[in-house]
Amino acid sequence: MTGLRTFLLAASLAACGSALGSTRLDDSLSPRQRVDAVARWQYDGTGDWNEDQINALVADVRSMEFRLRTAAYVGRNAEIYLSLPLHVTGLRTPTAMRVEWNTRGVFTPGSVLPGNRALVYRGKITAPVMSDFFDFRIFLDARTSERGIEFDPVFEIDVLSQ
Amino acid sequence: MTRTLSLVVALALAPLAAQAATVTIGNGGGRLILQIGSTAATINQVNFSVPGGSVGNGVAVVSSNVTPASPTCPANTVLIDAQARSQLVNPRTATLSVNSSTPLTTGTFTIPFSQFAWTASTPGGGGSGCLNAPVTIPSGTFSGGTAQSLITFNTSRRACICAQFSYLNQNVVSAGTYTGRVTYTLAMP
Repeated sequence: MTGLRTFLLAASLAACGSALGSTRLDDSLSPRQRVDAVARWQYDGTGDWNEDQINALVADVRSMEFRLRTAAYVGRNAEIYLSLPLHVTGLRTPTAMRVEWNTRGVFTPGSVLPGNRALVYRGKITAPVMSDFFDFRIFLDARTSERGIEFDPVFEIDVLSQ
Repeated sequence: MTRTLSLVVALALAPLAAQAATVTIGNGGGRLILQIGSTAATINQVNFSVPGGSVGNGVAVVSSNVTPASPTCPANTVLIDAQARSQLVNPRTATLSVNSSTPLTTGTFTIPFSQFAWTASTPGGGGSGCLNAPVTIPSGTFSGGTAQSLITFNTSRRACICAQFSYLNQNVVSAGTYTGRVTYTLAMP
């Protein structure tokens, strides 16, 4: 009995935290499910490169469209973040990657490191689906990159108090 | 009981947390970059002048000039800049070698390249173009062989020096203007 009460209380707290905290947005409407890019040298050719520059890689992903289901939040003030998981497949240390992006105006440009998130929208949610095109530039360090890097950009929404 | 319920809740939330996009980044190829002297196809010429009375006296003669002058190294030196890069964390090994097997000639007379040496300046000094290179190519003397190894280093790194050449002047040779060419090769199996 005691055990049951404890569980119910925990479930209640979890539900409350979910409503006030971050919720992952469903982006399954996005047209492209998987995007492949190839890394290239950021500082190529001759030059007085230091060791960091010699190992600097960059990969570009152009016009990746995200469509986020925001119907549940229409009319509410909210913040939307783009986050990266701390663990990125193929990366030995989280600090060995940085993702920058530009957009077409619905969301804001920014950058983020693995294990962090960056604000891409703040304001009233006005549409059931919010979409924008992202041009990603991914910066990597060859000293910590293993064969094949893979990650999932995740969008989270925080509903603000009215 | 509690565990079973927890699993049901997790499954019910899963559709709401759907995510679609995955970005994969493949590795590109490695890269070898080698610059000897000037950029592009220019072949630098290192000039020596040995007075007639000094020929063969064993006193080394430092080069009188290098043409064209290197924009990144001190005057009268030649940039030797080797980069070996790999996009994988597991290092690959690169070797810089030189072929000095063809001697200098004037008519039928020859001087082997084993009569020439170089001194490596310390990276980071003055106008050195090797300011940021972590690996220094040792000073040495040409062997006269086809594949004299100068340095072996792991990716992704850069070995670089500004080299000043000298003629060892150990043999009496016929007068004349001798010319010859050495060729550097950077390889990464």
